[in-house]
Amino acid sequence: MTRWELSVDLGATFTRAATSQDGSVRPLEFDGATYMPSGVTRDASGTLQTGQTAWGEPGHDVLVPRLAVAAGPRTRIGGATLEASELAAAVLARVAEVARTRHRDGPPDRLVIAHPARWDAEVLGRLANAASQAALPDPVWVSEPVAAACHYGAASFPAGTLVGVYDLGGRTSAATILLRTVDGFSLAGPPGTDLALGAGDFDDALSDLVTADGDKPPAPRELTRTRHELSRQSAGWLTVDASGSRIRVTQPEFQDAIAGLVEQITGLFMATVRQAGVSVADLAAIYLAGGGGRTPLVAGRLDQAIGEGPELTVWEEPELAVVLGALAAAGPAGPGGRRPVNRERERSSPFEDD
Amino acid sequence: MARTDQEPGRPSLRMRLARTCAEVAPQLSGTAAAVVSDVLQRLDDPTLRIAVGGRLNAGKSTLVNTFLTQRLAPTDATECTRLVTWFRYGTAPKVRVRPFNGPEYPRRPGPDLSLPADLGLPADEIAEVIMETPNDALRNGFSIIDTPGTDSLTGLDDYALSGLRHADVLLYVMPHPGANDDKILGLLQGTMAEVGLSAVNVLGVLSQIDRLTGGVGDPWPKAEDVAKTNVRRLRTVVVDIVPLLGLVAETVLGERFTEEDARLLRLVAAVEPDQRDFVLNWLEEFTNWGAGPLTQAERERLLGLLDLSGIRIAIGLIDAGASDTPALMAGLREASGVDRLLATVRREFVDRADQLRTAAAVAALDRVAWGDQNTALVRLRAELSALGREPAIRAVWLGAAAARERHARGLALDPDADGALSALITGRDDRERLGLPDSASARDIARAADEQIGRWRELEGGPPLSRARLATRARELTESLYFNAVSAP
Repeated sequence: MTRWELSVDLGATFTRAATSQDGSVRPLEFDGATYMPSGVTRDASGTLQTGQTAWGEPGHDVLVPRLAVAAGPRTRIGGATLEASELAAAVLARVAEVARTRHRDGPPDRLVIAHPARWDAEVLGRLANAASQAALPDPVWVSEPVAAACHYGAASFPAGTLVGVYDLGGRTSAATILLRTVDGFSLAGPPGTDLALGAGDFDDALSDLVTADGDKPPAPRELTRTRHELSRQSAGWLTVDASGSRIRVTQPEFQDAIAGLVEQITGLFMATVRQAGVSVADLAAIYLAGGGGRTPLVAGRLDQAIGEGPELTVWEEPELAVVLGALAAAGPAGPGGRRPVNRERERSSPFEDD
Repeated sequence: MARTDQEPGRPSLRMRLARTCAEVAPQLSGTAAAVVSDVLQRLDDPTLRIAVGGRLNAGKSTLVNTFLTQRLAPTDATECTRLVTWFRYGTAPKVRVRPFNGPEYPRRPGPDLSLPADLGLPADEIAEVIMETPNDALRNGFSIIDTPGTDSLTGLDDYALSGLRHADVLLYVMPHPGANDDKILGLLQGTMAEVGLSAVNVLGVLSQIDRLTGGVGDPWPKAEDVAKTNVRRLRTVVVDIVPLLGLVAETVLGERFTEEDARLLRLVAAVEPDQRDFVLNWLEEFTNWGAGPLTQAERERLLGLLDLSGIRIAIGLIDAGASDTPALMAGLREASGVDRLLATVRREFVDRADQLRTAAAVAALDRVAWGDQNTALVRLRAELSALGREPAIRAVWLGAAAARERHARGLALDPDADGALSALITGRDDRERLGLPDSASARDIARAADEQIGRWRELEGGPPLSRARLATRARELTESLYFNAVSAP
């Protein structure tokens, strides 16, 4: 039997997973995509259905495991109580099922779960419980910024090196300054968390741009598609209604619309650097992760804000940085090969995170 | 008895956090030690820190002096009105100046025991001024921070904000709403969110209400109307809006109104009503009322104490039989609206000082609780985390989030949801958070919470994301109320 490992990035919008075997790390594919919508619904019989779009379809109640485990042990829906771990277990089980189509030798030898730096032992406990319900091994924990940093190769830095990570997810932002230690990474200051600043806000801004007062806004999916189109092209077409009529949106128009949000992003990063008691010039590298990293204005403005600091690093598919990096961080070559990289098991969070 | 979250036999959230701070403090060093000891001092300090902010000439200093019951804050546009000034209790009048650069130094108070005109440094080199004074008003639960008014739209520049960062609550003085109102509110919401203020700890004070009616007639009906309309618009930004006849309030609570002034008012009242009432409707007529019973200096003195509208109220009171000074002052006090303001401050802020200060302390501690495996910090983080799951603290954060989403996108909620959100944010216990009466049982709470959970879940589907995200937070708080209720003995 060949040893294989599984990593999971349980996002609020999308769940991503990757496997590694014989040194080859690959994202897992769900129906041809490298992501699966994170939402879970409960059908009439009480069975949980995974892969549901959690957002953008008003009126049908979708549970989001990431938010549920962070908020508390249990959640209420339609007059029933559900265990938060049960929701996460449903998603993990689905991931494991898909992974088995690639690795038929049974369960993974190791499960690596990436989590926000602020999650404490209580929240991680719920996830560990979920892994066990999904018949998966006891998870190795890697915090999301550490995973992203390892994806970009920060493990090769000597102890004492500082790096910055900005993770722009769909709903939230997390800026983190990490210190390379002898056997892993530690936090150099409080994680800069903004629970109300995500790439999804760009879609809201795009919607405002093309919608007059009182008009029906375009479908969320269509907004996201156009945002991605605008991340690589100078103009995009946005289908605004069922009749298929389209509106042209240019890159400058879009950039104008999101300028204020991007300013908050650079503001959060710089504030996090200050709170860690360091300056950008002290950082050896700054990494951009998360789907929001695809938007050129984000990388551009961050790079400008950094000024005398190191040049910003962002690779193709930044949304995969965490899930791929989690395997690197926990793997034999990574800084956390023998034990969990995130040593801070008793970490606590005053702010819930998604 | 004040309503609080405190359950019998359980320490308050503030006490709980103070105890943790005291336990971990000896094991800390450097910045963390300094911040923890600062927070500990603040949690132990029984006074609530009330900041007063607003645009230049909005009536801020008048309000500060009203709370001080003494004219300590300069009301004219001197250098001092550009400073952050703390007024707090001390055994003797003392002034201390904290420059941006260099150590704090003492300064003697001015001749009338108020702030001296010369502080030893230009205003732009002074971070803040502390005025200690043996004043019973400051002994009873609060200290006051006067922030500088600017003519920027909100009146809160970076410098004023640095004062607000130390405040537990803000009294935002707004004169009658003007044309730029919406823009100002937008800016104010963003600014407040930045320093951790939100609907939970901001009270609007509608000042200069006499100007609402152009200085003629009874300003109160119009003032009530304006306050009510604006509260509806601002319910996720301010806990309430209270109208105030500012100068009259300062005068009746302060030290300047004398028997002599009462006598002057009675002289005016004695004039033949037709002539008198005509003169009292026009500032220019009153100022130049050479044929009247008062000298020009006396007329100016009365205007400085009460404004024309206040003089009119006093004359009305004398007409109605307020013959002696106590009766006259009681009448003026009632007409000023100051008791309602004080009661609102007590109910909304002083009575729930614990919740507000604990939330502020949690945020301050979070900044130093990370980045180290020190067991004391690990312990501190665990406490912060546990406090963050308490409904009272969640409510403060929900308030901040609501203010910000409203600022960013103009949060659109139907009136029902808006009311439910406002109750969640401003309620003082689980029942109030769900809009339930004191008599509601645990079962009533669970039922009401469940209903609201359904409402928030529907909004969580979005779009827009800003509203969906806020609905998630509202739902999570509501769920904690539900689970508290069902696990109650």
